[in-house]
Parts: sequence; structure tokens; C-alpha cells
Amino acid sequence: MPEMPGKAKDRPASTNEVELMRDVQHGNTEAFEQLFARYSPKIYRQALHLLGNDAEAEEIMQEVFLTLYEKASTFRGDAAVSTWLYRLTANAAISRLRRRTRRQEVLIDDYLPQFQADGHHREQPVIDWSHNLEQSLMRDETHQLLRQAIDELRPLDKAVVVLSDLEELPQRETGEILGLSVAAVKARLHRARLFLRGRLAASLGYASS
Amino acid sequence: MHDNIDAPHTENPSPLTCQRVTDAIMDYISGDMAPETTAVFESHLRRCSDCDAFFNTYRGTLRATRSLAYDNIPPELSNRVLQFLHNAIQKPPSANP
Repeated sequence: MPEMPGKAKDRPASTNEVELMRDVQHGNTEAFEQLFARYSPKIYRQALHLLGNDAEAEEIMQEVFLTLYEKASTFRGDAAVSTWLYRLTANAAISRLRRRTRRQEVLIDDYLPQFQADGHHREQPVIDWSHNLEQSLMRDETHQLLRQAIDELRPLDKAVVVLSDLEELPQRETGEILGLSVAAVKARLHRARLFLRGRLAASLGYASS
Repeated sequence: MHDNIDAPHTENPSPLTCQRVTDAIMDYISGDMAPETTAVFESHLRRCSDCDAFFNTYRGTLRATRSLAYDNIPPELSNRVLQFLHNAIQKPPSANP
């Protein structure tokens, strides 16, 4: 998994988390259940956002919490338990996404804004369709289009969008989870958002830039 | 720099081009932009209808993305996973051949 170098400057675990992990190391199932209760909702949601189905999200939860139990003795507390678990979740989900047979590749660049040599928008006028967006949101049409567009992103970019925009994690934490610098998170996130905007514009019948 | 609000938007009188405004949207939305840059950015949006429209649709897309919701974890799924984990944890390690 070359794009997931793992941890760098992680936030350390809180004392409570360290104690719970120590208890898990000693086979305390109550501590294990506490960690499960605390983190399973987010892990489920993250896996579901990334993979799009309950069955795989369930398998990811099994894998992640089994790893937590088995590797508890190697947990040193130099990263927050949540960061470690979300990293396990993202790694497992990204790995599955990469194994999936990809549908016809969508060219991201086709949906990014284009500019003239002097820096002006190439497409003029740019149409403001944001009001129509609110109406189509009410019909759930936009949500469906957006989910499809998010699915067209490359796995790591999809993970950046899921963690930053759907889970609303700080970009620093997204970087810690995915093994990316904050600058890399920002660059990938902005490009992904521009793509989603362009894809949505095209799907709603407006130009792509 | 001339700050004529009546200038046609295609003139783009500010030193910030539409391309640079587009590059800076994320910093503006997240509040990571320096105050002096913010003033120039907002001034450009007021004068350039293309960038204003682009900004509104970028922000609208982001809001729509953030509103994508999935249901919470179904209790039966949660219970099933927990049961699986209990079984897996309690299972004795398989003997080496």
C-alpha cells in the first residue's frame, strides 16, 4: 500500500484511551466493548461512505476491531486510538476499492475549470446554478448525483473527501489517517471538490466549468 | 489598481486573476485566508460575475456534499459484529501442524 505510509506527527492518545487499551491487552472484554461502543458508529459510517454497502462496512468493522484486539499490545499511545482505528478503516476500505473492477474511467480533468492565458474563466458567462441546487437537493436528485460523482474519484481522493467533507474531520487529522501532509490533503481536496462541482454542473445540464 | 464596480467583469481589474481566485476558494471558505487577501478576494467576487457564480456553485456543491447522510449503524448489525468479535476472541488459537 504505497500511498499509506502510516503515522507521522500524530496526536497522542488520551490517558483514558491508553488505560482502556492496556486493559484490552490484558484480555478485559469490558474495555474492548467500551472502545467498540465509542468508535464503531464512526467506523461504520466511514466504511459505508467509502464502500457504499452495508455488507462490506460490516466486514471492515470486524477486521478493524479484531486488529484492535490482536495488536493492542503493540499500541504505544503515540497516536490517538481514534486516528489509529480510522487509519485501519481507511486502509482496508481503500484496498478494497483498488481491487474493484473499475467502470469506465472518468477523466477528472474534463470536469475541472478551464482558464484563458490571462487567467479569466474560459467559459463565459459562468452560470450560477446554486439556487437550482437547493431545489434538486429537496428531491434528493443531487445527493444521488453526488454519490455517483464521489464514486468516480480515485480511492485516495475519495477517502480525502469522505474524511474531510462528509466526516468533517480537520485536514490535519485527515492527513494523519491517510499518511498525507496537510498541503497534500488540501490540494487533493480542492481538486476533488472542483471535480464534484463540474460533474454536478454537467449532470444538472449546465456547463462543466 | 482601479476598483470600479461598474467595470465590465471581463476586465478583471484586480491583480487577482479568476484562476487565482478559484485556487484560493478553499482557503477562503475554511477561514485560512489572511485578512488582506480576503479583502482582495471579496473585492474580486463583487466585480466579477463569473467568479461570483463559480464561488456560489463551489460552495453549494460543498454544502450538498456535507449534507450527504447515511443512517446510523443499525443496532442488529452492531450486535452481530460484537457477537462475531466475542466468538473470534474466545476461539483458541489453531494448533500448528
